[in-house]
Amino acid sequence: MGRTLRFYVRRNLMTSIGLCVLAVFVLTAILAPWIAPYPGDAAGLVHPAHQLLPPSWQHPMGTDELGRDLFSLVLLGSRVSLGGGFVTIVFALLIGVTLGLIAGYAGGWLDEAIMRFTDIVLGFPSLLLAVAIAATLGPSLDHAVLAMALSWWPWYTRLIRSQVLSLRNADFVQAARLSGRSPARILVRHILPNAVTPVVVQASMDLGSVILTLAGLSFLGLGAQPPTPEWGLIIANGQNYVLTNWWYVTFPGLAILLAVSALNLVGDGLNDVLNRRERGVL
Amino acid sequence: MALLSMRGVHVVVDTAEGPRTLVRLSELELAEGEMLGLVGETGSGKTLTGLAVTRVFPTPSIRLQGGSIELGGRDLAGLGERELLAVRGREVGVVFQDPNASLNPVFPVGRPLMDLLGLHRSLRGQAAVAEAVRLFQRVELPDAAALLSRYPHELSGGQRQRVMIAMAIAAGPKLLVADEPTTALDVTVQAELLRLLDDLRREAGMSVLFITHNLGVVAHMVERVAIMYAGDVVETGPTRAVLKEPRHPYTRLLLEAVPRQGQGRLKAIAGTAVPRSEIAQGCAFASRCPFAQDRCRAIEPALEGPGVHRAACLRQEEVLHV
Amino acid sequence: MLHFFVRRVLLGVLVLIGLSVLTFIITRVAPGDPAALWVGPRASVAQIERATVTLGLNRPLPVQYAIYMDDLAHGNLGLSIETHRPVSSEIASYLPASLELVVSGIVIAILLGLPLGVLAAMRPGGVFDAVARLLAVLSVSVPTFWLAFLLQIVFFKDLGLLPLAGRVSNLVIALDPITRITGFMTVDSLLQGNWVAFFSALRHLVLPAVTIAAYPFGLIVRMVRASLLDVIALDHVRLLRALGQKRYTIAFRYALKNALPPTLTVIALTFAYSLTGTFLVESVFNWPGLGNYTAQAVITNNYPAVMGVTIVIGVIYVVLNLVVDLVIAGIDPRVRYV
Repeated sequence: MGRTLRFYVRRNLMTSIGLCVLAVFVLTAILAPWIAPYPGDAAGLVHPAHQLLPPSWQHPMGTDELGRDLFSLVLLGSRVSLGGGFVTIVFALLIGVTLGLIAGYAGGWLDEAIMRFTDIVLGFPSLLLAVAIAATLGPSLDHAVLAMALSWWPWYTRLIRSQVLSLRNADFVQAARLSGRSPARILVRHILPNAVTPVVVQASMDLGSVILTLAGLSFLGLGAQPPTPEWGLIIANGQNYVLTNWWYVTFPGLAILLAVSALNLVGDGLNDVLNRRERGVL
Repeated sequence: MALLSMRGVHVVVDTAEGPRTLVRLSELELAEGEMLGLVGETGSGKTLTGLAVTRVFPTPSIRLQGGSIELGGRDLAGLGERELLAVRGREVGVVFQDPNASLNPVFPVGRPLMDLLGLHRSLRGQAAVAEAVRLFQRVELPDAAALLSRYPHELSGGQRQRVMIAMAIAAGPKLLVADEPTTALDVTVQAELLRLLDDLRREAGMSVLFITHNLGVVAHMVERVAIMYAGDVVETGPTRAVLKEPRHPYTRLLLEAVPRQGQGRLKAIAGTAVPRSEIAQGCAFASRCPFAQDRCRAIEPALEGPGVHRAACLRQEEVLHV
Repeated sequence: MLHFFVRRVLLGVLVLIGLSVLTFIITRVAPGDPAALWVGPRASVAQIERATVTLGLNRPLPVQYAIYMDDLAHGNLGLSIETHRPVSSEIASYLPASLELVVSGIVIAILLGLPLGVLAAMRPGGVFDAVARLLAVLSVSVPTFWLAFLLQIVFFKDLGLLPLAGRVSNLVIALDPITRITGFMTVDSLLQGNWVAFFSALRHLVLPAVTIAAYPFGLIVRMVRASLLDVIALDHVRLLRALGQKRYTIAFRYALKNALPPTLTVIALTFAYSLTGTFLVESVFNWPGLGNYTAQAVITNNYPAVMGVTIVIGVIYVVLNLVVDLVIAGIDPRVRYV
């Protein structure tokens, strides 16, 4: 066991580092209310006497203009940012997988219609679409999540459809069909379990980008609203203090960078494992 | 005098369980101006043996573990990557099996040739063009000057193979390693290419290591053959002798598997080739050999026999007289 | 080839029509009455009703869409709720600043990312490769607006090397202003031989352009590295190696060209992405471009402006993709003839 682990870590150093960092973030998100030194600061407490203090032992990341402990805000913000990203992906998966299942199984004009619609949505940048939708729905965290999900699903539709196409005529599907099972039941019970793996893998690799986009929307004022502690929002609040109080924007941004990097490193590792092929030399 | 002499060449592939042996060659020699046919099934290690000379293997996990590869008296196995660079192309030319994959589709076929001429013979500009045209004519490509600026997909398979040969002989190497150069082509084109290689050999005094899985291809063109099985040579000698009086049971079975006129079905060799790495001791062929005895599974046979016709078989006299 | 290209054009047209439907729906279903927004918060009911008629909001939806499409076809993107001026002319005045930024950013990303990707692929698993991969991951993971702040802290506040924000110094605006020709200040100042203005514009361009460059840089490094590793495994690369061609010649002269098509596709993709990315970056650098304009429009619920920008970027994206398809056809002769 120990030897296998060492072998793996040495060959996939970056992925291993990513996994460790990610584990720290997930633990933080779960335990934040208990480990944050000043959990009340995220719920609206202000300490005018402590405003804009530089990092110290009391306040490892300093304080903001309301005297709130930035370390606590960043810790609690991990729940919003990671959670928001996760929910977005789940929504996008729900939409994308449903449409992909229908398109792949039904075929014909329905397939054509769904896939052309997918092409159209894929035809322009997802951030743009998310901004347009979020701007329309009005600024809130829920709307931002919805807007991102609405611009993110087409990738999964494409993936699941190609999986369904390859499974549609498999023996076990034919058997289910002959025994009179309804299409919905066949899709959910027989096809989905066999088609879902690559889509879930892809979705987990997209989590980093989604978290980044969510932070961007919040920074624009289209995502989380005060006093919700969200990383992008904290940075937006801190932008007037960039030159005078460097720590205000630096630490929440560092949290985003670390979390998204970890997710991307793990995603790369996952991709390497799944698409392992012999490489050439030069 | 031998131009190329390979001894104890050991090629391995790195796996999670450690290195696995692919080739463990007892010996292989090639005289100056000689064409040697290196014959074996897929997976016998014949291609890797040929590639070991320039140490350009298909993947980074395959590497030369040991042995000596003397070319004109110098051991290539001891050279570093930088020194080998001067050997590749200049002293040893290489031709690959698949003419479709071996030319870059997004460059005119003359481009890599002229770049090689610039690199190895310092020919540039008009001089490079002129020499490229001459080389194309030498490999009997029609309309050589116009062909230089054509793309690979505009050429036939045989023409592409000739382009590759032109590239391989561009720097006038002493040795040409031809890895199944005719396999992907149809029979008449195969014959023409073989004749071309033979011409080039005679004209330039170049030695050719001709790798093939088809005994029939080498039968008429090649003076001497070496038969490979599981990463080692099991029989070697003058082509005529080896084909007429095989001393190794594997060669015998291989010959029976060659389709001949008038013979409808060809006999397959029973069993599958066992990788070298899985043979702990004894003869590598024992598990498939109709002649195998207990001692065959215990003792690893060396290449031996009367004169130049030798086989690695303890029972070669019996095999010969069946 | 013709068939292939016609297909791509048709798909592009389809995407644009879909885009127009989408933006139309969004503006019509948006919460809040556009007419009320139009006349402002203190308007009377009569004023709102008059605005409803002026804006054509009392007609049936299909008719509204037809009018909307007709307007679009004539380059009319509606009127800004903020300024009551045509959105199209506002976009036209802001777009060049953003294009200058994005083009510079992409050029930086290509100049650094392409060679780094190639060098990384030449020794996979080596130290250089590890550094390149880490850099690439960091630059696709960094929030651009945060990187902007970080660069400001380091290069303006701490080192005092580069200006904080704006496109050109106030001194230049006051004493030696640049006449607008292309809208690219660096280009215009050069055309006018105004060297002081040129260097000022260039110095102002560095930080925002580097910020914009981060994401495409990371993508390009990863894409070049990955596709080059695939190319390197091919026989024609191995043959050149076996014939003694130099590693750098093989990598940069030969294999790179094979790896270029997927890379170009990624570059086209990031161009549109970066144009959207200016939403987050321009406000930080007070850069008077499309992103700043959009960020403002988002805050003030100026739907026509947001949708106008969406359509313009959509068109740029579709056109760019077509151009890339053409360029790829130029690189790979097989596509040309098939």
